[in-house]
Amino acid sequence: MTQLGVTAEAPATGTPVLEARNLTKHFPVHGPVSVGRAVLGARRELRGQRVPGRDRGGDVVHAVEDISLALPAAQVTALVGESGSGKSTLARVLARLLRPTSGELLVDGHQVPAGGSGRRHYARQVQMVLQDPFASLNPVHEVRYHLARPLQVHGLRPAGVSMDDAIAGLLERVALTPADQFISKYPHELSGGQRQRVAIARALAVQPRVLLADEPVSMLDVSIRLGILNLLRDLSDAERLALLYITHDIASARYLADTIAVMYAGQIVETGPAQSVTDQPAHPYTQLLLSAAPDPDRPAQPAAAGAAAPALAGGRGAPPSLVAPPPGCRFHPRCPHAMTICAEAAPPGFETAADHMSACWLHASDLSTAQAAPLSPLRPEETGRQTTPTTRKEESGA
Amino acid sequence: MSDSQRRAVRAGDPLLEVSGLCVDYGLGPDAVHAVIDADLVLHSGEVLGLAGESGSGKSTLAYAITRLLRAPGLIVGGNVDYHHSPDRVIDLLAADEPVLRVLRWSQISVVMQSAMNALNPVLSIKSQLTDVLHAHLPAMSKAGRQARAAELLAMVGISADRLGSYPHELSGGMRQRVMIAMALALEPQIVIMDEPTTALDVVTQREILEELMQLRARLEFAVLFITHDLSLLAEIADSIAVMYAGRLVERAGAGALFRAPRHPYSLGLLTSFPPLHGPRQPLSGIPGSPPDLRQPPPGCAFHPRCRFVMDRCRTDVPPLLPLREGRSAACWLQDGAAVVPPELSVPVPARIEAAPSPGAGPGNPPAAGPAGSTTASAAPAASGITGTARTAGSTP
Repeated sequence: MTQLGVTAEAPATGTPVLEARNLTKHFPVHGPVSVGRAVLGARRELRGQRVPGRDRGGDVVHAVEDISLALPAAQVTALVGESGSGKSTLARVLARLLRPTSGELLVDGHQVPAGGSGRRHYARQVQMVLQDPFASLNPVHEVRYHLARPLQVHGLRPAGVSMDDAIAGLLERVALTPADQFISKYPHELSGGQRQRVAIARALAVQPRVLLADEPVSMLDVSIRLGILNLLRDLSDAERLALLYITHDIASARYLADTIAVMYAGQIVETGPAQSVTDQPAHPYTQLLLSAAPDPDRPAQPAAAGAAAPALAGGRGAPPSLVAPPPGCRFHPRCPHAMTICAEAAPPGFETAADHMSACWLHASDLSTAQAAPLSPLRPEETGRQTTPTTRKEESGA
Repeated sequence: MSDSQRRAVRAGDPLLEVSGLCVDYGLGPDAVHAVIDADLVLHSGEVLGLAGESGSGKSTLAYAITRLLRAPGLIVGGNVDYHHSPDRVIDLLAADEPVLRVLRWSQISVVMQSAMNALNPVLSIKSQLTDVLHAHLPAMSKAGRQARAAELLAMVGISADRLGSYPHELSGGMRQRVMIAMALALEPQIVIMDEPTTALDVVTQREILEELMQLRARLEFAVLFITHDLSLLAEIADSIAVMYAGRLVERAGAGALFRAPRHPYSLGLLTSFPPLHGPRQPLSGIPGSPPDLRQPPPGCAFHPRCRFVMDRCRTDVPPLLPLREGRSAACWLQDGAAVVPPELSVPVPARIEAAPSPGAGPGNPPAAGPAGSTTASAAPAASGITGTARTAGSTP
């Protein structure tokens, strides 16, 4: 077995199973002007030459920018962000479905070798569960086929155990019992929750140590979501899986995760223990997300007060264009607390509490008066909207 | 076209009454009963939330009300009365095409879930907005239509220079705003919203909902808001109806439903949303999965998933029983004979029932719907619980 083998001894505590260091992923923009350049760049990339985005000549989408993330064993890490924030791109880079523009991936502290066999070893360590169980299972194959394939491909069927018994064992791990009722079913004969359990079982077939779950419950009915989340939690505990739970629902992240990382416009803006991030959010974007989340416990408000009381904690507008992200902090055009320095320099991570980091200049202690001066709120050239700028009419009141 | 001229039914009075509505898909013994015996009242100026999981029949109910149901959907029974004015009631199920043509959009409009599919991709926003004006207000001049279209866009926070845009040039949130503007073009009395924000990001969703509530306070239309997200309804709806497997299982004021559900399914739904505050504790959700409507379970459709199931539930279908406080629930536990488990008999906190309905327009009596009538009787029992009502730990 190589150092990547699944039977390798668990590393010393403290080394995360999967670690990403300074991952960056840029996508070339296939605009009418830059198509030719992008094709050239893509060709160079195919030949194995690293092509940093700027050198390619064309515009790039800064989908993931300089992200470092550690997934420790038996821990659930939640990655929270809006659509377009780059969270799924990050998951695909972590699953090695996409090649990062720069940065490195470490498994148990070791570099991941490139090439086909390295890829296969990697797939045995890191598996992914996709969002839509209606699309991720093949409609012309039975459950048996879906679960047998990974066992065959990786040669993992234990000696002396029939394939059906191995599959039944998998189904039992995801609480699809009795297994013989499910093994010959086609995906269309299963409910959404059952399909997602089959997809999870398929990922578990290779006994991975890292599971990347990309919005695993957002396509499912409300009443069965918790069942899947609890299953993921149990798997993480029982099999010491390092779990990355990607979601846009910060409430479910709070419920499931040990650690929450909040992503905005391709960058992680806040990380910390789940409860600390949701109860004492340190970054204005996290505060915005929390204030926008449906919350029956919030005191009855806005409609009665007409236009007087916006419930959102600042931050109107849309996420920035990732082709030309705003300089400095990418959130500053929407930030109600924006200061001069926010438009000039990207904030480093500041520790606001134990293990709780926030990339926001508000937590810097040594800013000069000029740096801390409030940024004038209306600077349309910096708002960087995705499409042409929209003038949002202020409601004049009920 | 001012509101005072158009508004005929007084705020708080019934505007739309649905009784015994049944909708099948298909014919004969194989028909799937998508909506069974639905009773609903939408009051003028009210936001009525209709919650349920996919397949529970909530969209089918809305399409049946508006007569937009397509084959093989078939309305097989019931009444839908629209109170056009205090002395004119229109039976929507009996109305013929010309009557429907006039009523649709000008009195009852619909906002569809997927704006990308509901907007025509090859027509500009302007031509889609002016089209409805052209059809319903033939006397309006071209310039007048243009001005109105610009006004409508401005109303939902989109600048008039986007009039010439095509749907693909707008973001998802803007497309949904255009849909809302279009639905409001003729100042209808009722706007039916079928999951209007489901496909949107949480921040955009919040913005649109806030705008919607402001528009509603100003234009005083009633909303039938269909969603699977019960936690959303807590914040915007005046009253809520919960559907399960084609039947309404509980109807109550929004606050009352949230603090004190009476049906095990409502309780299960409410405990399916992890809270944003307080200690983290394991939640169970609802075991099992929604029933297959082609082979519904006998008796109460929820009984295979219900933790309070009794023998009777397996054989007899519970009717929608009227309860105290003007609410109702379809559960044998609530028929007076059974011992009600404590989770389903939480008294309604007085604070909620006493508060005026949050969405009531200025000057309206609280459009509290069915839940507001017996405030006094609920108050003494509830006095002990008001202190425990959780206050939101609002973000700094």
